Amino acid sequence: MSVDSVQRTLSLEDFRAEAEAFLEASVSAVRTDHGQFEFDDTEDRVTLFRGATAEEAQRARDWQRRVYDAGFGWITGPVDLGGAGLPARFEQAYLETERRYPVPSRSPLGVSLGMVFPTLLNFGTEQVKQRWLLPLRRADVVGCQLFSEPGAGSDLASVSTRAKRTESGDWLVTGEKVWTSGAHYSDVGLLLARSSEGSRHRNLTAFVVDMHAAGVEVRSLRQMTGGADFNEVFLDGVAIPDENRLGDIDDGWRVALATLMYERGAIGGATAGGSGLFRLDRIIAWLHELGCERDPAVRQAFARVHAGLTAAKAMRARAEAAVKAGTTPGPEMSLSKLALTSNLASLSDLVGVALGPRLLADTGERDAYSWSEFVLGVPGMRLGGGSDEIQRDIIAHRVLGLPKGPG
Amino acid sequence: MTTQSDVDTRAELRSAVRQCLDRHADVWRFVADGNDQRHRVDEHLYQRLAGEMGLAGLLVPEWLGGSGAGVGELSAACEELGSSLAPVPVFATAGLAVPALLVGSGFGADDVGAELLTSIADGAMVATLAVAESPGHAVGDVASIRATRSGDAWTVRGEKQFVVDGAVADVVLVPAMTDSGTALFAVDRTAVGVQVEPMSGIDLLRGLAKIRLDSAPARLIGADSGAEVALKTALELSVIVLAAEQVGGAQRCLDNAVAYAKQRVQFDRPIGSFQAVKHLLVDLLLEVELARSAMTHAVGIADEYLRDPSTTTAADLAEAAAVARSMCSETFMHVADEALHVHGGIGFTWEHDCHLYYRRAKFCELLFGNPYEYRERLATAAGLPG
Ligand SMILES: Cc1cc2nc3c(=O)[nH]c(=O)nc-3n(C[C@H](O)[C@H](O)[C@H](O)COP(=O)(O)OP(=O)(O)OC[C@H]3O[C@@H](n4cnc5c(N)ncnc54)[C@H](O)[C@@H]3O)c2cc1C
Repeated sequence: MSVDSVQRTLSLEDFRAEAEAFLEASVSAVRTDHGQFEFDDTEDRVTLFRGATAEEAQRARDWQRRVYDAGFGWITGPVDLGGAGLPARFEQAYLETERRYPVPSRSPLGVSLGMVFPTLLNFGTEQVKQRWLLPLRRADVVGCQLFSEPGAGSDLASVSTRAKRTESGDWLVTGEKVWTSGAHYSDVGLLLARSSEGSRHRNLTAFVVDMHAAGVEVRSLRQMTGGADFNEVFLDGVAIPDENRLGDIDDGWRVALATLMYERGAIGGATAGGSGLFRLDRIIAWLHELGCERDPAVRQAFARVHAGLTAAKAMRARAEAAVKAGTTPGPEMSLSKLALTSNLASLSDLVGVALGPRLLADTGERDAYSWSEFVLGVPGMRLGGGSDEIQRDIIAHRVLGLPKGPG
Repeated sequence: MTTQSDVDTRAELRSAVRQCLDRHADVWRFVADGNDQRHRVDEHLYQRLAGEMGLAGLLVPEWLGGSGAGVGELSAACEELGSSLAPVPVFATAGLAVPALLVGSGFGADDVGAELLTSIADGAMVATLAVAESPGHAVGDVASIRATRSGDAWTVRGEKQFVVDGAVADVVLVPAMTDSGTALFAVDRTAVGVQVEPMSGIDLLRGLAKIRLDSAPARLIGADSGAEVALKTALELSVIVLAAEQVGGAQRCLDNAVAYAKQRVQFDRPIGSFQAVKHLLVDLLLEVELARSAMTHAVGIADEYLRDPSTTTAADLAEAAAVARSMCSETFMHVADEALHVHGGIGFTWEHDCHLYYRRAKFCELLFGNPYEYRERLATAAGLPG
């Protein structure tokens, strides 16, 4: 399917067939490296985080470009902006199909495509959209999220990075950001900064900043898994033209809330409570390989994982049936993220019960000690994208209608 | 596939059932108390629900007088029943007996099965299935019940326990051993040699009974051997219907707890503004949503099985039932427990309905096998040989 052939009506079956044809033709041409969150055919690695190395990020970019050029890179996007103009179920169908092929993981682009892109689409000036939208979509340009700071994590509205307006109407930004996933391979950053002394939530402005601009310094941070997916970003008098402003002056909180909603949608949507990450048949085959399939404790732990993932998948199906395609993700995505962290905990438990000491030290067996990277990554998923506690607060207020607390 | 019109029919049925229960269900009048542990049911309400509204016949094919609807419809109604705790033998009749009769009779191919299904669909007959023999026995075990044939007539001998609504059922379905194997029989409660004894029970609104059969006359349903496969499948359908009740009960407990948390003030603020309470309620919401999803998924699979009973659909049914059953049992129990906790001391009083749900949750959790057993079955169904 090419970008300009999408106007015609396309059945889901034909679409799937075209996706299969594209993937068949592509798998031999790309280095296989699939299996984020999933034990791998080609590499003895199970991990929740990918993108630490430059090569991994580059492979993701190369693959996204191919996918975009084949017409599958922005399936739900409007045709006049470079999308394929198809309903959400086509996107779902493509992703399902793609998961069957050993293609490179695109997770290093998760923030860029899932959060930076929609924010620019909805809040960017014409210049910003012209300059960055398509390149972001094609992964010619990659974006990161410059929100968290040492003093502002869960309480994001308290960021202290300063944006000062110059006489020309442009901006100078100084401050320190932290935990910035993928900053080391990013070209642009979505920045939230303090722009006035106004009241809380009325004193922030959002920008898109060129990560190669003078005054931007990225220092890598090593996380507990041993990898280095995130960074500290120092901003020292970085000049930002006013056209890079997203939304109104001092109205950046609204932009940030939208980004956070896209983030929950991206995490909740792509992972579907974990059922979008793990295939039960692979887990079953693995347990057989280990020869522990009759161990009663393993069977209990496995059944918990099975039930949790099956229910999460069914919950997603219910949400899809209820919500018309195209609406912005609501609080159910917070539920989906809590389902994810709960299922990750169950899987981590199963892995420990099944492997025993083989999780603790490398015996040289495949798909054994390599799970340790996954197990050590689980705590990060409970924090990134808003901690479990913050998700619970959101659901308590928006879904259950419970009153706000003292904080 | 669930179509939009299925969705609409179910929503209509659900709201009709809810209206009927709001208007006519008076649970407290039937709560078994003190020395009076005899279980009673609301017969008038059962007549309305089973007869007039046709709940008993939802799974019964149209040619046998039912509505030929599906588990989708039955589960929608049972969610409401689970939410209200109304003491009516709908689960026993429509959830236990009907699936056993349907699967056991080859979907009405057998005359006795067809006749019983017709009477049930009419609302005239309360029926149940006697599953367990003794606490230690596995579900569906028939080791000590013997069926003897003389001419065309059968008699059965033995004892069953924990029979749901056994004291009020007109007909009890009893799996028993024949000379050839396992078979399903129907026994009239009033027949000679049938002795029914209500058991004192934890659930004050749903009774269990002991049934002694002393050469009681019985009618054979289907073949005189090989019924264990049908029974296993029928029970999988039953626990999916029960899962809908469990979801209904859990949702009600959660709703009550959320409402109470908004209104109860301590330390000058509603307790629902305390994060410990708030987060607890959100965790319960997540559990209920996941349990509901697992149940909805299983209901879809159950209807696929009923439309096309094959070994493939039966295998899917076994897996989906185990998922739904293990989750819904744990969820209802946990939600009932925590909802009571949020109510504080008042939740621990006899007059408050928290304990009625707590009791029902325990009843549902342990009756046809506990969550650990269903996870064990799930492991087998999913492909880990046991
Ligand atoms: C893997 C990973 C990737 C990340 N990527 C990015 C990124 O790309 N860009 C970015 O900007 N940020 C990123 N973050 C940062 C992330 O958003 C923050 O870590 C998170 O919001 C928590 O903030 P904090 O680390 O300052 O912890 P704190 O906010 O200090 O929280 C510490 C603990 O207190 C709890 N807590 C805080 N407030 C409350 C409250 N009101 N009620 C109850 N409990 C509370 C938290 O739940 C947590 O358990 C990433 C984090 C991780 C782990």
